[in-house]
Amino acid sequence: MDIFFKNNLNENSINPPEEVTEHFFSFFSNPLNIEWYIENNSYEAIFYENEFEKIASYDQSGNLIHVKTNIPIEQLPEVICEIVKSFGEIMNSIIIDENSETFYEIIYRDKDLNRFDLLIDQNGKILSNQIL
Amino acid sequence: MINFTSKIFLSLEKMEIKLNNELKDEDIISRIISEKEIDLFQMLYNKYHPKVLDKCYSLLKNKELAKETAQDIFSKVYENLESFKGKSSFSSWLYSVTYNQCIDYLRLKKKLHYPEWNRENEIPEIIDDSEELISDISYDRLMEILDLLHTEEKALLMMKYNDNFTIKHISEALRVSESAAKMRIKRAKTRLIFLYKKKFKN
Repeated sequence: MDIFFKNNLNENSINPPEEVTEHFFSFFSNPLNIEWYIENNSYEAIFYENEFEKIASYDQSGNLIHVKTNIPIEQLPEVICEIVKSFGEIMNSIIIDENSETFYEIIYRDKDLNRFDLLIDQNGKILSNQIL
Repeated sequence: MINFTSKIFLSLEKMEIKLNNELKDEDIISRIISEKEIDLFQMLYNKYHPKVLDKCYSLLKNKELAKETAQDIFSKVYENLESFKGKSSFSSWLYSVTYNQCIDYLRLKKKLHYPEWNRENEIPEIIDDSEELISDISYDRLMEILDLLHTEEKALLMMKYNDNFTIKHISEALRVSESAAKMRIKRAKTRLIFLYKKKFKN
């Protein structure tokens, strides 16, 4: 490991346009440790709010696309939890809020320790289930 | 006459070694695959083995196991050389296999379980990283704190900040989604800053 690591830890994130930051700071009450990136032509903030890791994605015009929140597995709704547990052990859970709809992105592993990325809506409908 | 011929052969051999040393990794791989010059793999091995071994030891913390794992990694890479498409550099591909092999070993054999560990080791305080500049930290202290993290968090930080991997690459190596990789990197960095402050600033 070299000194590059230490220098890179302080890498500067990008500066998003004003319309993006304006919405961001009015929408999130107490964001902390914000890092901005460009991802697939959208602006993305990775930050903490109320001790949760969050990702907020914006389009070029400053419209919020979605917010992803990393939540403890215990905070998943029971119905979602039960469905995913029938596939395997839950290893990570993320809530996606997009256009007034809620989705869950779950990583689970089966008994052979194969890992999967499962996308499920709030009604328990599985939208995708891909091996990682 | 014999002496003269040997000198010519020796110089030709040196010239070939020099030429081979100037070859790019991708050219070496192409020659191994298309022209079956399998001896050239030794060059890749000699060039990268120390770094792979270093990464293995840094994650596995056992010299013998690190040596065995590094050997396994090179065998695996050799066997799968044809699947290397050159989308990233050979070194990134090799290091990606290295992280994947080490973490998978720990997950399988050592029952490494990140969610459980994370539950038991909540970060007590999210420190504002604009106030706590990590640039103040000495390199030795940084390495000391890195060893206090969960191995998966350490691997994430090494991939992101030491090897400059893309998020896609990181997520593939650790078999997590890209969003999960981003958030876990964030958490690992936050924990690093918290532990640094606790150990060296209080």
